[in-house]
Amino acid sequence: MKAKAVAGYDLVSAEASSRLDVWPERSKHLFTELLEDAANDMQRELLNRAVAAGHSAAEVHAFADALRGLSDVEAFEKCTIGLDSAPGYTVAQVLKAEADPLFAFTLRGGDISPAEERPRASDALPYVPPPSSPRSDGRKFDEMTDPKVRVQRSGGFDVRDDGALKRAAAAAARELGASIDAVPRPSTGPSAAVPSPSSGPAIVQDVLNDAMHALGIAYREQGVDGAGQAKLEDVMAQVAQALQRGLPVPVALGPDPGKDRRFALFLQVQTSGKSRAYQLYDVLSQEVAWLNEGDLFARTELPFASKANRRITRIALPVIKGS
Amino acid sequence: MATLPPKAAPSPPFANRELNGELLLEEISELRNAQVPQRQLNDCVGALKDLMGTRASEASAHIKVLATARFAQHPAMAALLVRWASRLKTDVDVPLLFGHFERLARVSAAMSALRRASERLPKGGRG
Repeated sequence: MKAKAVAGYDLVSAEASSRLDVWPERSKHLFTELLEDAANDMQRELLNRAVAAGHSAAEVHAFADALRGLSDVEAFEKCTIGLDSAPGYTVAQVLKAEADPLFAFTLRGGDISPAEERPRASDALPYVPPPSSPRSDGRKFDEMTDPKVRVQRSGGFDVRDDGALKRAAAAAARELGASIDAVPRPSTGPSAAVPSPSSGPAIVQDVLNDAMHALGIAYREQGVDGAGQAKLEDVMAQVAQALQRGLPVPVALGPDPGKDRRFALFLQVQTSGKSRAYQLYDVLSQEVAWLNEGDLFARTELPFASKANRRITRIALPVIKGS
Repeated sequence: MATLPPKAAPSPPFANRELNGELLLEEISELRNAQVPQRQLNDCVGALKDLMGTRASEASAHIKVLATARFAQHPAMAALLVRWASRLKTDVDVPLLFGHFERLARVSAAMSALRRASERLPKGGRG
């Protein structure tokens, strides 16, 4: 299938180009990604105009995030003002808003929260009291495939098999989502991280809830296995329940509790008697593997190429009504 | 003694263990490469929800119409819908198809969020 041409700097006006010239490479790359992720040409034009108006990369990023969920009509409505429709504005404001959609957006009550400093993972992780669910030990699976052999199909896996099957996903084509170079933006409002008494900032909850809001799903993030945190065994029952409802479960992987190094996503679960097997997808390396719950609880190794990240350090559980 | 009629089984594509695993990831990749916005996936799920409880033949026809009428500007999305519509064989396939597209939208959104948040991790989440 032929992909559409990616929008790039060719759409940028001369003024925006001159502004971009003085941006660091990282910010330029971010802007390209934002143009790619924009829903349509109108949103791209609004972003270009925001750059031309002299806004920072962080402000433009936040603006892009705010625009992404809007329809064309809504975006246009929120980024333009007129004296007839808003007699309370001054002429100067109207003129400035004509040239600067981000200014117009904020003038009309739009909320953007640009991040100048990126929040970092903290050793003090959020604590959410675990449910009193019994531990469910799965049978131990043996490794069947060498982690270096990452192109093998996993057609023969069964939850009752004595082996965990793994393969890398069809590699390069599996680019998804936003740029890894995108500067994260801590949200305010309902999707903001919910700190708990012993917690520092959550890492993914705000971005995750922004992305899932349109689907009516909210997540609550928590560290696992650290001091004062839930044990992995206690939360896996909730993970299985979410997966059975078709809700993916994001996790962080790392070498030790509190040391979050990579993000992965539980895609599905299979059960056989008391045994459970989970399909886990490493978002950046694009490896996908089935792993037995017993292997997960052993915390000695995960079936991905990076062996240092041997355990789950953090889980974002969907907030399920009635559970 | 009367015997119960055999429970309808899903068609092979819907019984595939990787329907919501590797196949799902490949489809997300296709859509991503074709620059189909997340909003289109969300809209698609909303439209398919109306088909719950309908017969396979009816759902299949409806999805094909949906593909051409609503997603004509996104050929990758339309092609995916038409492909799945032609795979509907039994009535039990219909909710499975809906579930598949629902997961498609959810996983796509979650992966997008995780990629963004990876920058907050040491080494950009590649450590």
